[in-house]
Amino acid sequence: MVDGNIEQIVKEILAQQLNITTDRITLESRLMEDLGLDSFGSVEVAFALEEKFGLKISDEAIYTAKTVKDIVDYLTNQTSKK
Amino acid sequence: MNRRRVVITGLGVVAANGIGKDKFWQANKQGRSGIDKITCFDTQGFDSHIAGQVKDFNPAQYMPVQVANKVDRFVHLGLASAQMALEDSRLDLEKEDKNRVGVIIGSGLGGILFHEEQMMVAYEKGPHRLNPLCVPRITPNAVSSHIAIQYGCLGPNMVISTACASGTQGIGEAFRKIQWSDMDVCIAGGVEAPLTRFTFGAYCALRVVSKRNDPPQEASRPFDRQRDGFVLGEGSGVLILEELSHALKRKASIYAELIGYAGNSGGRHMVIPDPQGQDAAQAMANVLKDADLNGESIDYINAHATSTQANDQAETRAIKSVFGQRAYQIPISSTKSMIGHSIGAAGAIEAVVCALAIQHQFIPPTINYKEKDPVCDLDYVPNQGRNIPINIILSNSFGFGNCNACLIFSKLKG
Repeated sequence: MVDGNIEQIVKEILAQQLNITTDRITLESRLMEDLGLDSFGSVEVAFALEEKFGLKISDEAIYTAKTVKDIVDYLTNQTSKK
Repeated sequence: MNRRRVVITGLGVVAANGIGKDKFWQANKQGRSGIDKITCFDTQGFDSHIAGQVKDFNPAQYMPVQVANKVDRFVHLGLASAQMALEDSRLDLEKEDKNRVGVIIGSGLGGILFHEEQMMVAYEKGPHRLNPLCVPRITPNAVSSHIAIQYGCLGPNMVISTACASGTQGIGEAFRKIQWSDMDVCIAGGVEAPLTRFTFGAYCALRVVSKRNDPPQEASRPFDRQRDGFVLGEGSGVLILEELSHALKRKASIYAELIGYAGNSGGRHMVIPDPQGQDAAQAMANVLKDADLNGESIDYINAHATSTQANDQAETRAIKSVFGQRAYQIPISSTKSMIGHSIGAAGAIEAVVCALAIQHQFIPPTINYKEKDPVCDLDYVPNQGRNIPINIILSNSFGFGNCNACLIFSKLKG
């Protein structure tokens, strides 16, 4: 899976969680400040990503991700290890 | 301190025979059953295949989609009735002191559908696949909390769980809290969504569910000699309860006044009622006392009447022991004959029936009444509703766990 695909899936899951359209989300969007994702929402997003990618996202990764790019990078890294 | 008076100013209902008070009342008036074959899960392997399932219900019509996607069906049903009741009351919450607006809802089982789905996940896929929303979706107070979050109600908030008496107690406890000035307005009622493979199976395992599958509409037959158990149902009923002067000040239209509430326990058995109905009779005596009435003034009894052999006999005996010879003159009906037994929602849906019966001066029938049971020999308003003057109504609920609750409704007096 290439990064573009991961990026698209992450944007779709965030859009669904936040009830917004994907065109409002860029790689640089900050999860809390720009998108309004709260800590509980980030747990739900992590759960949806785990389901989609069939992997386990660490608690640390959930709480340290600041931007959309952080999530995409983490997933790219994890899926390449598989 | 004097008890304050409490009135009903809004109604919301979701039931198998009608969503919204108008459709629901038409069905009740015409004696139309909402019971049919279960379609929400596969009933293969069960002896019973029927229920009072709510069909054509779209949660997104009553709440934001992002809420609808993250709550159990019992919260869908509760939020829908709350929205309808608030709209019906024309209460402008923005003008209210929200600290004085509470939410008290009865629910026997809480978010049991999601619980069941996630149990399967835990066992089949492992604990790491459990949805992060399990706890807030399953917890019984999800329904009262979601209503409070939706409308910003900051007053007393709770779910009361006394099985089949939950809805009646939700309304009764709200009534008390308004009487004693803990709040001025309450979104009060009951809700249940028990139509899941596990829960339906659990009631079947208790051997209390009707197996009269064909035709489904004739299975729920309270007081009829051939009754063979209750038909499980789902739904919700919500009332807007309001302190009288608060309602008058805003020129609200008032359906009825709530004038009595009592709850007690038989302290006897989890499932089997006392055959003589002594504890049920005590609950009725207590509610008459609470309303400062004697038996002469009751114009109609909306019975608990589930359509099991034991309940309907015990309730009949209890009514006779409280009202004596006058028991034979009081019209008694079971609206469960049309929608089945919706557990924690039942008493609240029946409270909606009582409010509408007073408004329309009409008693809905007990449908499917064909053969007289020698023990059940009172006037059950068989098959045809009745237009008669109604001032005061008693509503009974008797729950598993031997929890009883009764309410008395009155036409508003000047």
